[in-house]
Amino acid sequence: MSSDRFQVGPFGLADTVAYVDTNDADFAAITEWSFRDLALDEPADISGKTTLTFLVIRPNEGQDRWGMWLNGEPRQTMLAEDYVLFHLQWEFNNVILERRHATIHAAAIEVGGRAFILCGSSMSGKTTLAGWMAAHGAGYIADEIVALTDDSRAMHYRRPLGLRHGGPLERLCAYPPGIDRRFDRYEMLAPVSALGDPAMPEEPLAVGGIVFPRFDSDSVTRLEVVQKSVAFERVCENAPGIANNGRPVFHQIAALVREVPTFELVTTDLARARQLLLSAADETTVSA
Amino acid sequence: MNFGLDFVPLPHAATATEIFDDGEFVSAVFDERTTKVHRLNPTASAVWVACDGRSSVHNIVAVLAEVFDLGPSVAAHSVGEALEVFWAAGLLATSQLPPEALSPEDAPTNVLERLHDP
Repeated sequence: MSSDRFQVGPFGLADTVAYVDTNDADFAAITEWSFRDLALDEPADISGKTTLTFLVIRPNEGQDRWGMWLNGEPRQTMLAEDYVLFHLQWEFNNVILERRHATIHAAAIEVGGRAFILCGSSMSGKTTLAGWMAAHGAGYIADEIVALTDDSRAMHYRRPLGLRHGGPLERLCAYPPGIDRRFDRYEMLAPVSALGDPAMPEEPLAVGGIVFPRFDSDSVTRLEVVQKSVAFERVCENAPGIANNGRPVFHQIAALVREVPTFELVTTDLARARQLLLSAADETTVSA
Repeated sequence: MNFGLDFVPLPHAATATEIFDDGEFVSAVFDERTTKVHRLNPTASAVWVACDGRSSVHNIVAVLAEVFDLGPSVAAHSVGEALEVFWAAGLLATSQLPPEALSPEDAPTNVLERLHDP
């Protein structure tokens, strides 16, 4: 096993600072690139925060399973090489879920100074829509987990987007030279900043609407109002914060759903979907 | 589960309720033991809201009949169905059940039968 050590970070995860230590230079390089939108400036952004150190170890010659430790405690010691980076992201997600109270399985973008939450289960198209919007003028707030402040503003979690090979976002994004593809063979973990130069608001933003994307290749791209009770049910189905923190989050999310417009966005054509979402954002701004 | 007319249903303490106005009132009931959210249709919502720990099944049937302009047997059927759903989902407090209702040996008169054939 190599005795070389490479440290990447610090990354901001809720109120913690995370570093990744590894004995593999290629893994350090792809981690630095994939997670660069979570990077903090030292020392200004890290003082007084809890430090998390993820140790990611490449196996000895002849072995093929990687190991990951968090602050010295084993997390996974049987990781396939092409899953290590994704497991690291999963660990980052868990830090957010453990440290934030009201969390929703969703992406969030910024339009007109407000957050639009793109909520849905896996494969619904929320990441693709968020990436497309961010690549075409919207701000990027979060993917996978949207955490709400106590007054229901959306907090940023600028993790990389999982871009499926051959998907519409992959052609907007190029790997930098020297990145080893063996770590993301099935999906590209791309920082949103590699898709363009989207705004990345630092402060939590008031929510302007909740959108439920639904990819349907056999349908027409359209935006439809969703009844509040249906919207609430759908958010609840995708709200780990309710399972983890119970009735306060249940009531908080209910109040948010009542307060903001709720839509389903059936998507086949991303450009058209963007237009519809921008129009809806304009209309809700006027009515607000 | 059979519910007597005098039974006073009470939501389980582990539940929390939110009501939405979608033209009709629709409830979402959260059960913190299972972390599941149950969305109730307007009729079941009305029954759920009426389960306040003071109103008997008889009272609830009367309220439902008035609110939805239903005949007594239809209202009774709806209340019975809703209570069955609540019971099956564990949303009702068992401590409120009359002793005979908790005993499988007994066959307490079904609320529907009693209302259909008082």
